[in-house]
Amino acid sequence: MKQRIYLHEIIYTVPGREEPYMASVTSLHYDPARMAAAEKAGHGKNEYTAFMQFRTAQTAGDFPRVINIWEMNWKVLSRALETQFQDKGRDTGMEEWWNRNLHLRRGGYDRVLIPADYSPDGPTLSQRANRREVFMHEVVWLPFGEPERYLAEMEQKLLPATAQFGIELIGAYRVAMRPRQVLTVFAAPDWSKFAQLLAATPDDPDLHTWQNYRNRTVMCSEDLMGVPARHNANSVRR
Amino acid sequence: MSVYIHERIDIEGGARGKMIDLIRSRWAPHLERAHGVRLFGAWATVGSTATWPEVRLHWEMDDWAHFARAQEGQHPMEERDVYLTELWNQALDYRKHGHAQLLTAAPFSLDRAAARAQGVPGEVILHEDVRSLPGRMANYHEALRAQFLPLAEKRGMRLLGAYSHALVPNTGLNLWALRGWEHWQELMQAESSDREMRAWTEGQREWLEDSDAFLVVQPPCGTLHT
Repeated sequence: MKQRIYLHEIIYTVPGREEPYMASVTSLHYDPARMAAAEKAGHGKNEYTAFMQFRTAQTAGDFPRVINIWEMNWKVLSRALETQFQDKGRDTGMEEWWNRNLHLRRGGYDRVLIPADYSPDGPTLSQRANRREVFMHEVVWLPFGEPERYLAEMEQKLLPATAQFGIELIGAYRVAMRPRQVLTVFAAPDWSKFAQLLAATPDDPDLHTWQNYRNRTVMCSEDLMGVPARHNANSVRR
Repeated sequence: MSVYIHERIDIEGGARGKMIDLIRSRWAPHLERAHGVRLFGAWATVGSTATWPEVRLHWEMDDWAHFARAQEGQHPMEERDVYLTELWNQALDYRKHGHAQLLTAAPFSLDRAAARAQGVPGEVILHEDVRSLPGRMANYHEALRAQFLPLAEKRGMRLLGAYSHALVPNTGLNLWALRGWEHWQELMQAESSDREMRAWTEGQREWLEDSDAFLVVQPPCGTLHT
């Protein structure tokens, strides 16, 4: 794949409809009528790869929300957007799906993400087949020019420490066209591992160093905790 | 100096195309004929880059005197403009709520007539919301004109307008016309390695508190079904 990018969606779901909404999203990959319509329109197959999907756990941040993340490249995204706003090459199957599911969601907020070099791709995460029962999702606002330094600091200072607690990096990204933002996603195999990480943070030297840097640098943050979609292949559950 | 009203409209369900078509086919011709208010743009926010479903409208007036006449002619609409009242009520089915900004344009902005005369493309627009450090918006606009405009034009971007909020301090927005989707793709692919653009982005800390950009597009009439 050419330069990897990610389409990241925060969906404002109708309360109580998170699982039906997520199943509906995943079903897009199995709908033969839609796939036939997409092929006929020249969109090809599997250009958007479902990367990760989870919903809020009401432990931190706004709820109810669903997070969808798709893996692709710039060409695929650009072509997909172009066909949304023209008659030529319309994806009528997607339009029909979009309008059929209005009772499950009220809107959303999307970002295009550019991964740090060390951020894993979809096949890598699938191959690991790790258990992922808890997600930690964060958007931070940093000074202009800081996002790449922040991601480098994260790789050096935070990742070795989180690995000791069995916490896995799902993704670390800059945000296209939003130069102050960084978005990160981590997964834990269960809540106890996440709790152990938080409990250890004040005393663990590496975590403490990272927290000092964060406290000096982060100007604003939005955090939420998530649990995996029941249907999603990349949120491996046991 | 032209005055602008920029509206962000949160759309109900799948009515984004219907709202835009209503604005273009009836609302805008009426406002221009009755009050001289010109529609600069009616755009769908590209959901993959920001909030959805959403529509953006950008209305142009000649100056503050024209703004006053146009507002007096319209409001309260139930007394003064029966057709606007009808359109307003009809659009209730299409929208949830909205937010408007009252803007003035920096002198190096284009008005609608100039943009049309120069053949500036309008299919894909880069919308930048900016918040300046206290009191620094004028300095930012000067830097934008002197430093960034040459870089942007070299890369095929055309500035439609750089605007300041007339009421809310340190708040503004910029609108840039791109040549189309492939142009946006080229700009994004080059972003990581384009040293001049990165230096500008990092240097904005001298004037700005924050900058957020996303895309808006002008779909052909009747083509948007979501």
